[in-house]
Amino acid sequence: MKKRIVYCASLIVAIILIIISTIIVILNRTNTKTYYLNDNKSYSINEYEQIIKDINVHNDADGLYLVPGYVLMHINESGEILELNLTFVNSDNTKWYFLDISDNENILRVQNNKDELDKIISINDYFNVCNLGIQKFNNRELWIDFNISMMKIISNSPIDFIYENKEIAEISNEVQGEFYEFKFKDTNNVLMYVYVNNGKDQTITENKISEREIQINSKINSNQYGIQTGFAEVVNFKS
Amino acid sequence: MEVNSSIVINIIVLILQVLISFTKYRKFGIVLVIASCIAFLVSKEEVIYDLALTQFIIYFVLLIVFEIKKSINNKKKNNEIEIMKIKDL
Repeated sequence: MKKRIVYCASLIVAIILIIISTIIVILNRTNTKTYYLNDNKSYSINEYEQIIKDINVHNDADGLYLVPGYVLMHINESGEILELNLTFVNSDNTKWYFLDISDNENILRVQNNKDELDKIISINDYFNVCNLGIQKFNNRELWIDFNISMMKIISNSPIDFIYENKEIAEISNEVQGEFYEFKFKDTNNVLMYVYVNNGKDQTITENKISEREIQINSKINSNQYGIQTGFAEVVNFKS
Repeated sequence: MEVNSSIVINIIVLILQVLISFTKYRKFGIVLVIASCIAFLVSKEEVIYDLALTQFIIYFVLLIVFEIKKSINNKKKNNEIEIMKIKDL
């Protein structure tokens, strides 16, 4: 009799747990929009805005990451974006998406080009992949939230890259005029350079990055001083 | 084809679930289902949810099949006993 009661209780518990799990999964699925970025498909700017917005939202869910080493932005003196290339990679590092916006055509091209993929892998034997989100893409202005503390490296043997810990190799102030320079080291002793504006107007320059260096020009809120709390306004990468 | 470790774990758990159903401890199979559900609630990984759901379905389908089989056997036995009784009379 006792055994039967225990068995019935476990059956009821199992059914309740399955129902709760199903509700959680259904809620998760209804809150997530998935975009399948097809080869050679063109999107309007509005569609692009929506995609970028959603990519930011479901970064964690779908694992589509923006690859900062391959964000290329050409901006003129008045801050207009002339050309923008973004590269995304999926979480298991198998698919790459190249999004291009040029000045002449307001369209987005999405490519998944095998040759390009090979080239990228040979250039970068490690990948700095950040959870980046584009806050607004309005009137040709681009804002990218760049949370450095969420930086990840995707590789065959993932390396932790943590800013707030003792991984920082060096912090030096007032390097290059108004920029603060932060140097990070990963576990392979690879240096990463981050330049942060001290809260004044952002200066956009094209920085050359070598195979193992990334320079980020960014601005943080003056009242949120510090990389871990502040978000970079615009990141400009050039490979 | 790349073999994902989570797929291997899922297959092992499912095989275990089926094997338990064929032993006399088949009722303990529900423990595996509960464990998978708790694992999903902790990790929120949909793969584990799929596993738990599959286990749940396997458990109940096999349970129903065995219960039907049991009742058929019982019926057969009862019939035989009745026939024996009639013969004895």
